[in-house]
Amino acid sequence: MEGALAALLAKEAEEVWVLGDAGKAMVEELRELLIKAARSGKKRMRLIFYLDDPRRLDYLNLLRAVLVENTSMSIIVEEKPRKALEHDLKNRKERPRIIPREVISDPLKGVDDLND
Amino acid sequence: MTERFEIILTTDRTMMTNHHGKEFLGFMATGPPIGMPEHLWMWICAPKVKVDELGRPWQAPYALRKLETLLQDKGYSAAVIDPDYLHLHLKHAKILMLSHHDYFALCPPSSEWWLITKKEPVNARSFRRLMEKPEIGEAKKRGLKIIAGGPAAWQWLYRVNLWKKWGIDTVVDGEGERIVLDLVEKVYSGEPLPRYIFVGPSDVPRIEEIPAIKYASVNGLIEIMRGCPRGCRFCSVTLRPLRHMPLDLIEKEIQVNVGCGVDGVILHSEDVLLYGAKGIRLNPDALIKLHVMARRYVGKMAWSHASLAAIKNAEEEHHLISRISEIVCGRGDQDYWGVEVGIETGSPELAKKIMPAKSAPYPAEMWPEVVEDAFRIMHENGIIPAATIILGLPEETPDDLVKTAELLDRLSDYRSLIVPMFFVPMGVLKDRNWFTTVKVKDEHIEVMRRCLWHSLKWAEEIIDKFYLKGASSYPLKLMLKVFLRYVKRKARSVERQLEVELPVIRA
Repeated sequence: MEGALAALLAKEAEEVWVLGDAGKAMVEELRELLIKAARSGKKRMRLIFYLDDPRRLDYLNLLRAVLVENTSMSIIVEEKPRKALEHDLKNRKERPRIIPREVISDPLKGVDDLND
Repeated sequence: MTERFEIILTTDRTMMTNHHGKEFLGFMATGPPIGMPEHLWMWICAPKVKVDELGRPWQAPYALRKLETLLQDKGYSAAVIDPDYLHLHLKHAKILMLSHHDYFALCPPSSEWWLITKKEPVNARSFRRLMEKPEIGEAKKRGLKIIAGGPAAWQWLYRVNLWKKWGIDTVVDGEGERIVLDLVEKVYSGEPLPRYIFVGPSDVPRIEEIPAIKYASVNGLIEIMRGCPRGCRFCSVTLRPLRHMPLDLIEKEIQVNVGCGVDGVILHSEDVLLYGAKGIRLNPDALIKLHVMARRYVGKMAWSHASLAAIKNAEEEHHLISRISEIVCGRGDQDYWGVEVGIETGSPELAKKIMPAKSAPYPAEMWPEVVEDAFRIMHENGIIPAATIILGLPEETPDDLVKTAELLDRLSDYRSLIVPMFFVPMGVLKDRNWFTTVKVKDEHIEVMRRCLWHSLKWAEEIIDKFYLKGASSYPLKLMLKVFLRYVKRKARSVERQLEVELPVIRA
C-alpha cells in the first residue's frame, strides 16, 4: 500500500527546483517543462519551491495556471526556505533541473550570487 | 477517561447529514437561502445527524469512511467526527482531514445559483463557519496539521488566501488511498508536509487497495465503480482509470450500512449501467446480479448516475431497465427510484465536439434522440431523473442553445427535474476560462427559463406522489411547497422585468 508518495518524492519523479518567488516568466518555463514531461511519458513531477518566505503562498496563484493544465501526471509541490538550497545542492549527486535557468547556470555559483 | 482521537476526519454540516434520508434534498445546499431564513433552509437540506457520545456520526460521507477504515486498519487512532463535536478531540488531535464536494460553491450548480441570486450558497457559508470555529484555530496554534481533499480539492487553487488564512497544510487532489498513509506518517515523524499533491492516473489505488467501509455512509451510498470510459472533455472522472468493485465488496458494504440501521443503498458510479461492462458494452448478467443482491438487503434503492445512452441501449437490446424495475419496484415497497443524468446539450454538433462517446453505442448525431428515448424509458419504468444541462461550454454557439431549448420542449411530458449549470473547467477542459466570466446571452436565459418551468411543473407531482409521501414527511412537504410557490412568483416577476423576448427560439 505505502509508497505512492514515496515514489513521488524519490527518483521516480521528474524533479524541478524553483528558486525565488514565482513570476510570470518562471511559470511559463514551468509550463513548458510540464508539457514536455507529459509528452515524454513521465508519470510524476516533483516541484520544490525555494522561497524567501515559505509561509507566503502567493506563488500558488501563479502556479495554478500550470497545475490546472495537467491531467496525466502526479504532481507534488513542496516549499523550502531559500537558505536550504545550498545544503540541498551539496547533498545531491546529480544536478537537478533548476529554474529560472537564466539565474543559475552553475547552481552553486548561483546560490552565492543569490545570497549576495 | 473519554476516548480521544488523534486523527479527525470531518466536513461541514451540508455534507455531514443524511438530508432526512432524501438524498435529493441535499441539492438545496448548493443554493443560498431563498424566501426563508438560513437556519430553516439548512434544516430542510442538512439536518443534524445522530451522533454517539464521542461525536461520531451515525452516517458520514463515503470518502471519509474509506479513509477512516484505512487509518484504523493501520492502527491509527482515527475517526469521523461530526463538526459540532470537534472540540471534544481537537485539543489532542494531530491531524484534521477535510473532504467536500464543493468547499467554496464553485462547482455547478452552486456557482450558478450564486451568479443568479448574487448570494453565496449555504454549502460555502457552512464550510466557512466550520473553518472559523475557535477550536480549530486554537488547535492550529498548537501544531495541528490540516489536510484537505475530496472531489472539490481543486477549488483551493482558486482560494489561496483562505488556504493560507485557515492554515491548510496540504491539499490532495485526486484519489487519496495511496497517499494518505504516507502523509500521516510524515506528520507523526515530524517531517514537513508537501503543500499540494495531484494524484495522477498512475497513482490511483488498485481495487485490492480500496478497503470496505466500517460504518454507515450517507443514505447507504456505496461505490460500485471508479472512473468512466466515455471520455467527455468537461468531466474529471473520466481522467481516472476504470475500475469495477467486486460484488462481494459491495455486498459487504451494504451489510455494514444495514447493520448500522441504514435501510437503503445508493449505487454510486458515473454510469451505474456500465457495472461489469467491457468498455461500453453492457453486462446484463452483472447488473442483474448486483440489483438482486442489493435488493435482498435493503428497502430502498437508488442510482447515483447513469448515462442516457446506456439507459436506451439497456432497454432496447436487453430489456434491462424493465427487468431492473421489476427487481427494484416489484416487491411493492418502492415505486420509483432516482438518478442523476447528463443531457448537457441538445445539439448534436456540440455533443460531437465535447462528448463524442457520451451517446455510444449510438452516433453523436443521434444525441437528441438518445436523450428523448431514454427519458421515455425512465418515465415508463419508475425512474425519476434529475438531469443537467451545461451552459457556456467552449465552442458553444447560439444555434446549439436553440437546439437545447427545442429538446427541452420535447422532454416536457417526462417526469423529471432539469437543472441548467454553468460550465466549470474540469477534466481536460480544466484550463479553460470560467463561463461565469462571460456575458450570459439571451439564448442562455431562454434555456434556463425552460428548465425552470419544466422542473416546477414536475416538482409538485414528484413531491406529492413519490418523494414525500406519508404523514411523517408533512412538515418538509409543506415547506418545499411554500418554497416552490415563492420560486414561481419570483420567476414570473423576473420574467416581467426582463421582458424576455427570444423570437429565434420561440419561432
